[in-house]
Amino acid sequence: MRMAELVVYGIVLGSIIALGAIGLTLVYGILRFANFAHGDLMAGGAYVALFIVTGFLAWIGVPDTTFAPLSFGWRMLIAFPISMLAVGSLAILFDRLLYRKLRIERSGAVILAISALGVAFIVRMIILIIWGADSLFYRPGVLRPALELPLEVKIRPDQILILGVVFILVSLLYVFLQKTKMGKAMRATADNMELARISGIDTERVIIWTWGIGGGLAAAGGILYGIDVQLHPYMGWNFLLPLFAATILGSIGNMYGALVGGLVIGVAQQVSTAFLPPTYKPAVAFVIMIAVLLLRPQGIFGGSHR
Amino acid sequence: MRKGISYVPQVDNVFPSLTIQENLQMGAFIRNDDYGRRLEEVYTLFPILREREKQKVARLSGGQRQMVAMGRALMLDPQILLLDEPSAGLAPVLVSTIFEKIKEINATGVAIVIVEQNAREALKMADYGYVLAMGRNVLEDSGEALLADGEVARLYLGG
Repeated sequence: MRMAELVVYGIVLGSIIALGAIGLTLVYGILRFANFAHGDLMAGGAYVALFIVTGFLAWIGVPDTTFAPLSFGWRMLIAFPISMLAVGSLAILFDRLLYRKLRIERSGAVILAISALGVAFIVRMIILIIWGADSLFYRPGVLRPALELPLEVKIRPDQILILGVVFILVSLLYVFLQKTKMGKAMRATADNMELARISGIDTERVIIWTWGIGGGLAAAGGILYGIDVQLHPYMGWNFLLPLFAATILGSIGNMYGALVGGLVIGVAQQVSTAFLPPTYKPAVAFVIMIAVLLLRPQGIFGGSHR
Repeated sequence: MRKGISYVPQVDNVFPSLTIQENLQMGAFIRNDDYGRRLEEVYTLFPILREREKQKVARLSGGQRQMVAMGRALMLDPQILLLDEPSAGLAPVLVSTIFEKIKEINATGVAIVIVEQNAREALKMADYGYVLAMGRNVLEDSGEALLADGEVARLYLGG
């Protein structure tokens, strides 16, 4: 049954979309700001990891061996957290240099959105200048055999690992938001920034944490997509529509909604390929987004308060 | 705030998606010491909050939210508590409960400044009152004296 396989692939794609959508929704929840550069942060993360894997780690002589059934090895294991840190820092840097200044000047939502679009172009053009317009792989030529699961589902070990990594990252974020002081302060600030300030919460620090986490998760999503499929300078741009569809579907600002929304959009996109040419995948996300906006603009997890 | 002044706004004065306990914790955000004892004191003042500490504030009634808001502000053990219209939007029976609580807080040694449209109730318990008209201080006296003042009653207390 091909449908079962498409659903599984959809869950893999959806979990990657969810990593981006969670960051997007966190940033929106705190800053009320639609970050059109979020997809390109994902691409940025993928390419930073590529630089570390094929450039830096090759140069210092880390062996290029792979972990048995997986398509990557030590190099990726090292590059993954470094790239998350790098993109998290980059997101914070853009906030300090650009968005924060616009916030202080009380710029409107349109100006913020356009400047985010500008950031997106900058990141994309840097990728194009350095790596060119071709698709790239972390490890070209590696065999990627698939495992045979029941219901004729073929899945690569890489894809199982992707699901595991997303599960771990989302669990860590959950614990952070629920149990730590900074996590609670983030939720409080998303609820009501004015009151958070009155209560003595350092909202600028909350904003820095939010960008750091959003950027880090975006990088993770981009790398996992690079491992699963390939790297492409326009991958971030192509992710933007599914990211927003997932965020809106799961109610903007709601992290758990973004997770569910990401999975729904991922599955819908993959299942659609049974009926439509794969080039229509973005259209599927777009149709879902329009339908949600028309029928239930507050999303499926729309809060009752306020 | 570090000087011991806490403020409770009139509206949007709680974090609805956080639990009661988390709301109170946020009130103590700038405290780096152990605020457990202060939490106990606030719970003693508002026992209902202890009972429901794990509940989300979004599901509470207006009166309970007002208690959460005051509890949050009290977490820093302030010397002065500013309350903006604490009775606004509350049912009359709750208004007296809230005013009772305000008196209890005052008895613990916290000075309280209230801006209140329910002037008669507020003046009854106030030590000192100011009547503001058009943003200017037109009258000041003890709460009792203002209540007894015929002009104040006629102009501001509705006869």
